[in-house]
Amino acid sequence: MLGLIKSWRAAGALLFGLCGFAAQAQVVQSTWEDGTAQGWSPFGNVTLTSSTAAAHAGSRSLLTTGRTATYMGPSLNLTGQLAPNATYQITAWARLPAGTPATQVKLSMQRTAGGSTSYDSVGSSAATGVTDGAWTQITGLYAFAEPAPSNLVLYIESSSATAPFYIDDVTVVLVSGAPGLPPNTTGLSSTFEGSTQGWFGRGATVATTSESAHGGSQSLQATGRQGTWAGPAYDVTNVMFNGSTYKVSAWAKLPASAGAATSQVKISLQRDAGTITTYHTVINSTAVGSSAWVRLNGTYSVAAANTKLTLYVESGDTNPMLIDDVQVSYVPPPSIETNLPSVAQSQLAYFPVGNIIYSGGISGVQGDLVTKHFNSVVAENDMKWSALQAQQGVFTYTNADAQVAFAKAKGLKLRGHTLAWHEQVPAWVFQDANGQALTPSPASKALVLQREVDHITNVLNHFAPSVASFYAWDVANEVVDASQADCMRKSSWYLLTGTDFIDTAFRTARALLPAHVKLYYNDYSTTDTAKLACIHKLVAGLKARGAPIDGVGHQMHISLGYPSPVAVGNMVRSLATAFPGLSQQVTEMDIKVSDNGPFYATYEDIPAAVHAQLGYAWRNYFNTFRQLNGLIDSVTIWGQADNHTWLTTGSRAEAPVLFDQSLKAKPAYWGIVDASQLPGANLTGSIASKAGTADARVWTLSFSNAGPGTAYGVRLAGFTLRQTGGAACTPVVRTSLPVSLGDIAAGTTASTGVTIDFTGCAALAAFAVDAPFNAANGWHGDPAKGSPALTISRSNQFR
Amino acid sequence: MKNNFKLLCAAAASLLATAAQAAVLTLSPAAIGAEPGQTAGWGFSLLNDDADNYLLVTGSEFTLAAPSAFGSYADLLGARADWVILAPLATLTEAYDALLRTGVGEFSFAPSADGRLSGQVLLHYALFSADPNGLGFDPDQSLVDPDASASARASATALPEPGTWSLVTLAGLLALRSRRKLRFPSSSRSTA
Repeated sequence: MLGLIKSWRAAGALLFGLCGFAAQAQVVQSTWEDGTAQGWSPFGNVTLTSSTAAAHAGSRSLLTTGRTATYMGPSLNLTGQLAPNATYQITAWARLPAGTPATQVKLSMQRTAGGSTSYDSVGSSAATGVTDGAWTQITGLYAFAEPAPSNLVLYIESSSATAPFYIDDVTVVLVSGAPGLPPNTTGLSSTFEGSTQGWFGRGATVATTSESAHGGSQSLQATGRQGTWAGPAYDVTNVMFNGSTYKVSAWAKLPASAGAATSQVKISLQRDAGTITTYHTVINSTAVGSSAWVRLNGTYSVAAANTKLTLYVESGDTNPMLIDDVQVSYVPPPSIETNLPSVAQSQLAYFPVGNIIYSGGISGVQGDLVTKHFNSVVAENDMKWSALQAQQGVFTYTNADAQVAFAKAKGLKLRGHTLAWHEQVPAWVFQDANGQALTPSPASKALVLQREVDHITNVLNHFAPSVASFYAWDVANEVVDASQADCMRKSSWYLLTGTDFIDTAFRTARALLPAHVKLYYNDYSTTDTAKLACIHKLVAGLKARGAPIDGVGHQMHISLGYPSPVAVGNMVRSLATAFPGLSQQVTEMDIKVSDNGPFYATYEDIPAAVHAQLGYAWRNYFNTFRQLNGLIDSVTIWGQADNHTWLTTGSRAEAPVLFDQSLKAKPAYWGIVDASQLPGANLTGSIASKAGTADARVWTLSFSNAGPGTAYGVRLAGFTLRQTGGAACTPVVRTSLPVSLGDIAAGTTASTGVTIDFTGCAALAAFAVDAPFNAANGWHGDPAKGSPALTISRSNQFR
Repeated sequence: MKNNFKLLCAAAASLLATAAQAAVLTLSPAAIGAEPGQTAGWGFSLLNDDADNYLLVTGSEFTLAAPSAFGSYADLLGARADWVILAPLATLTEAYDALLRTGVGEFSFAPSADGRLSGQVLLHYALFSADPNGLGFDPDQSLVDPDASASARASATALPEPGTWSLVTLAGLLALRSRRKLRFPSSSRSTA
């Protein structure tokens, strides 16, 4: 078996991966120069011949004839030769016998693993890229995930079912081993003070300059750029490693000569893998001018096997540019803090605390995080209609089953979510047999309701063996629209069935689920006055019709701006009063920074002060839930950590849940578990002194922060005097309120004077003073935001 | 001349403030309890540990590590119409009396209160170099410290209602009886 290099084994791949540099190991080299098939065999009913009629190199190649189907061609069994997660470059040269019409030739892999067989595309020529006039190279990168295949066959096919073809010089080369721990985590720091520090010009000339600098006295200037792609570059092959994540930050500016012009500057990565080169955006285009340094920063995960990586800065034009203070920092893989108290345990006296699960969220550290901190789980998406029955009659339970199995294995309770919803429901539900949209009619209504019953029946029967683990199921979701006169969302469900789809869903679910699984109507913005009125109407209607609703789920996808915890409490009490015994649960809680800004482009941009606000907000909402004394019987948080949240988009970062992107506890966590750990928790106020004349008396109020962290945005919110003794008089507070005191670091004190005109007040006139103050934008100290009041409240005060 | 005198007095007051001793607050009892929906309060003993200055109570509060729906605190001592003043080194001791409104403060347990709250009672006071009830008292001139405080650890426990106690007792007796029943046959077997 000449040409098949047998020395390669998985251990070699591992060693290669650990080495982390550009060595390449050849797994296969087939030249057919010895006149044998060199291990290649027919894939399908074809004939293989070692031919001297054509050769890419040497004097022979492999000719395939007798093809009758596109997949038929030569094949090589590579079982045991390639390692999971490693990346290989597979190359072949192809040519057609004289007179054969041009066609496409493809490299493919037949892979059998875990009992199923898949056919992976490796690479292909252009549609008519292989001709009888010349040899054409076909190449591609190939990798597959674990488990190791029980059968792995490389085969060469053609879009022509009959065309014979020659192949020659087939190689399989290891490009990169499986991603693992990086060989080093040193990162990169370039300040350009005194030298270019390893940066070079990529189609440009680079040199240090003192024209402008972000830090220090020098930056790096790129001139003579030959294209938009040209600019300063750095070989990061031994800095950034496949499978690892990095924070990348650079400052950019245009030279003064650019005047008022701006450039769209971005940071990119050139990946060379074998003979293949690809380009990747690291930091998106950002407007940069000559008036100020602009920071380009973000987090980038290298997911590209490579033999060489080049980081470079480019722009949408060829203007000269300056860069400075480039930082590339390794981000360790997420890990959980094992010594923290459990969130769910901390609330055990009140209600279960749950979280979402999803395919990537039930294993590894994510799974550990859920298991440690929560005692209830709900499938984020995998129990929705489109996930379970995307195609009529074809039910897919793979993901949902894995998640239910996880919950059962870990002893976690389950919420089911959701049976009838106008989103994530496939179009076929509302189409006829010809794929045409159904129009309202008795027949359409009957058809859709039958489909609903069939779906719910299949789903609940499927999960019946696990039903003991379930305690709640969201039966109907978001059917209310407060802008409609009848309160009902004009969804396809409603347009075709009226409200019957709601009743049918509840009745069907009740018939199949035991009584311990409570049935919920679930919706967002339930504190909105009009929406709440509609929900009252909906619940009343369901109950009047005998539909078996047990409770209402409040999604609580909220923001720091809306609604207040006070409003939440009022809303829950409103439903409890109207419907005694109605269960109420918080089902999908997360807290956005804001609906109206400020917004943050990257996670790192979110200030500590905002995290503090979120921490106090979580405290105040959970205080509200607890103070409702059992009216809320379950709380589910919609996100395990900030690394997986539906709220973060490509241009907007959010921090809506309890753990950060590295799974570390944030103030939001402490707000629930131990509010005394929140930054500035021990902020107190006192009257430090009184001085000045009666008509301009200054009371100095002192605010001390005993920690444990900075008290952000402290402000004196008010100051009132109420006379309690002496001849009546009317002191006037001259100081404009509120007074901002800024951030107060732990262990320090800030003061402000309040000027009061006591003209007409006797020296012995006595007053009670109330001076409310707060921090964290009111989340700490302002009762309007559900916080216990912070105030300097004293009686028996003289002027 | 008058202004200079004021400055001199202010400086003296500042020195005195530095030298002022902390008051000592003792609660009696420190741990109170009542059934949900009821009110209980703290008696106290307050020592003005300052040999030179008069102590005027300006309020009290019950501070907690975390807010609670357990109930609410009402300041009794600082809310009195008559000033509560302690002469230098004097001690005031009072029991809590809901009708007489004596004591440092009271805690009204919410109807749904359950368990125990721990925190501290914080008593605020001002110090004056002259008796605030004395003739010619001038708070502007005699103010030594406008806002000092003394604290004492305190707790409030929601007690089970008598009916609940009966149930608990009954349950305990039943459990004891069950254990005895279980032991008896075991003992019988061992002797058989």
